[in-house]
Formats: sequence, structure tokens, C-alpha cells
Amino acid sequence: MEKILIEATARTPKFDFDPEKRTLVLSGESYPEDPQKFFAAPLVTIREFLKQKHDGLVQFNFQMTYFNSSSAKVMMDLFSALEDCATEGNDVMIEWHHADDDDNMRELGEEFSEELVNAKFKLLTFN
Amino acid sequence: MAGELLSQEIETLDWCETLVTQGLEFIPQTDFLRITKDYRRLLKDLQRILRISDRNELRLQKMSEELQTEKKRFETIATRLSSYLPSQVYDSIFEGKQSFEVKSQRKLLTMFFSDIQGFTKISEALQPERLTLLINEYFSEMSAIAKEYGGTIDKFIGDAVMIFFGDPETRGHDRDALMAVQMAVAMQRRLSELNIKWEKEGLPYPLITRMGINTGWCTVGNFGSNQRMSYTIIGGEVNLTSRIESACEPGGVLMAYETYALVKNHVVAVESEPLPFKGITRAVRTYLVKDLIAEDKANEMEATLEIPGHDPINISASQLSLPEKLKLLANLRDIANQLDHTNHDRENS
Repeated sequence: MEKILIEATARTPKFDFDPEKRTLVLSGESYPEDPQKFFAAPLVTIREFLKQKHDGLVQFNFQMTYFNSSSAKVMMDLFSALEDCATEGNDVMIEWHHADDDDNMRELGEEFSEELVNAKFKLLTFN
Repeated sequence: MAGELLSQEIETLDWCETLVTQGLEFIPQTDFLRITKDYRRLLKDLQRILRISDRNELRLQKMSEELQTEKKRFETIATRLSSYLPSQVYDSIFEGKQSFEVKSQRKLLTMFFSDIQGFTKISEALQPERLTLLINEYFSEMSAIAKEYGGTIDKFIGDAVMIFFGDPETRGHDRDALMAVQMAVAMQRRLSELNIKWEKEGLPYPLITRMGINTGWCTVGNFGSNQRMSYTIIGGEVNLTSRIESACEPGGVLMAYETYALVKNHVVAVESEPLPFKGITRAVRTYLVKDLIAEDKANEMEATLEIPGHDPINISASQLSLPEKLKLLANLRDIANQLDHTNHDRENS
């Protein structure tokens, strides 16, 4: 499985997936003009990855400052897939990073994590 | 939105439809549980998306309001700043035509200088507050006339005014020169009227100005540094204009030959003695404006004023200098206004 690195733009986030390290970092702002076009291919790879058995920690970091509804759907699906991955016996950690003064992003992280039972979740701040 | 982003929902729906087409009488509990689980998940996702959408809308609304406030603040600041710049320069900045670099160019311009004769004496005779009101009223009146004739007000230096024609907009060199001369005459005319008003308000001395006009090549543009610059004109011809103004008779308008050559068909002027200026090798030919050429040939006017009980007064316009003509005009208008006012009171009593 290959790495995926998509650099951030004004409207799309940085998408940094490393299957060897079992990490994903999604950071920046996300309101792509064509969400289907931006997310479709990476999501296929991520879903396939999360269906596999892993020997070490699977860690996904979210460091978003703004996202639209389509991007929210993508993140909810990722949370759901991560939870399923943890339910299958994998060690899964989700980190949700938000700006110190961004209550909105903090609340969203709390909402997304409501369904998590087996996957671990951390809420972290940055300046 | 479709395709991969909703692939799981589409998969669940397809599976349900498959179950329907199988025509089963009973759906196994496991299948039903799967359907309800997926449906519950879908419902929760929808609720979250609605909340996110509503929050984003509120955020956008707030940003829009903040932008509106900033826009109003900017407009207020821009309006205040406009008072510190020539209106033509201000307009060209907002139309995107003005460069913000310390940059200049050579242009043929008509320049105007004026100052108030004996201003020191006047300022010593008045209280500072009265002097401020007077000078501001004077500048306001002159500025309005400058704007009317399309002049770019460069600066006010004490009691002096510097205006130029031909930049940032030009109407052609001869038209620019004519506008400058017409503006000067209009200013002198207005000043004659204002002096009558100010005398009634207690001003001990009238404001008498000297005006100088010259046409020549100057360097115009932004001078200074990138942190602080001034839009102005510089060059030998600018200095010459100032000297011509100093040599002008009080109440008059003196122009260089270069300006006269462009306006001679529209202005009545008398050649003065060539003026020697320090630092300039040639004697500068100058022309004193007598009047503007009007179509009704008002300069040839000869009239006799007959007032019962008084000797008749003969008025020959051609024998009057510009300052004398303008002062006479102002006085006659004032007398006419007073008489009209008196007559009006009598009719109403």
C-alpha cells in the first residue's frame, strides 16, 4: 500500500497518510469545490487499510481549523471506520487537535467521538 | 454529492432493495438489526451535518457583519483622508490609476501661485481665532473655485496657494492654461465680494492677493520616501511661477509669455516690462491680465450712471485694471443688493 501526501491549498487540507507508520494527519481547512473528486481516491485506500489487521498502534490525527458539511461527512465516516477497526481488535488512537480559543472545533471533536467505544480518543489544543 | 462519499449508505440501500426483490415473507432479525443500525448511524450523521451547517452559516453571517463594519470604517477613514490630498489624486488612487511608488514624470503643466499681500499685518491685527476663521473661509472659497476649473490643489503654504493644471488629468495644454487664467480671474472676483462681506464683519484690512501663472515643463509625481510621500511638482518653472506671482501688482493676475501664447485669443492682457530674475539668464516676458474676452465684448463697455441729485458717473471698462474692475463690480452688486433689500422692506411695510 502506498503513501498518500496531498499538500494543503487554500480550500483543501493536508492529507498525509503513511501505511508503514500506520498514521494519517489531516490538517488545515477543508471546503473543496468538488469533495467527491478530492476525497474519493484517498478514502478507498484508507478504508481498505482500516479493514486489515495491524501489529502496532494505528494513529489518526485531525488538526482542522475549518471544514464544510461534505468534509464533516468524510470525517464522520473515518471515525466510524476507525471504531470498526478497533472493534476488530486493533489498537487505535484518534487525536483531535483544536486551537486554544476555538470552542466550535472542540465541540465538533466531542460530537464525533460520542460513538467511540473501542477506539481511544484524545482532545488536544494548539496555539 | 454521491459516489465514494456516500458509498456505505448506497451499499446499505442496495442491499435493502435486494432483500425486497427476493420477496421474503420474513426478514431475519440479524438483517433487520443491520438495517436499523445503519439507519441510526445515518440519522446521527445527518443531525451532525445539520448542526455543522447551521453553525457555519452563523459564522458566515457574523463574518459578513464584521466585514460590513470594517467597510464602513474604511469609508469613513477614506473620506477623512481625502481632505489631505488633491481631489484628483484621491480619485485616481481609488480608480487604481495612481502609482504608489516614489516615481515621477515630466509634463507640460500650467502652474498657479497666489499669496495675500500684507498678510503679516493682517495676522497681527486679528485675534488668532478670528484669523483662523478668516483664512479657512478664504481657502475654502478659493478651493471651490479651483475645483470648479479643474485645478489640482498642490498645497497651502501659510497664506499661499499652489495649484497646477494638466495632471493627473489634462484637457490639452491650451485648455489647461485657459482654465488657470479663468480660475485666477474668478478668484479675484470672488475675493472682491468677500472683502465687502468681511469689512462689514469688522475686518480692518481687505485681503488683496497677487497671482502668478506660468506654463512649462515640470517633474510631477510622488516625491519623498516609500514611508512618507507627497504628490507635487518640482522644477525651475515652478520656482519661476512663484517669482512671477511675487512681481504681480496687488489684486492682479500676472502670467508668463508661455501661458499668454496659449490663451491670447481668450484674454485681454497688457505686456509688462520684462522681469529679470536672479538665476535666470533671460528676462522673463510677462503679461498682466486685464479681463477675459466675453462674447458680448464687455471690455468695450462705456456707461453713464445717473443718480437724481448727484453728478452723473461715467464708467469706461477699458480704462480700468482688473482689480479696479472687480472691486467696482463687487461694490455695485452690494449696493444693488442693499437697495433691493430696502425696497422690499418698504413694499412689505
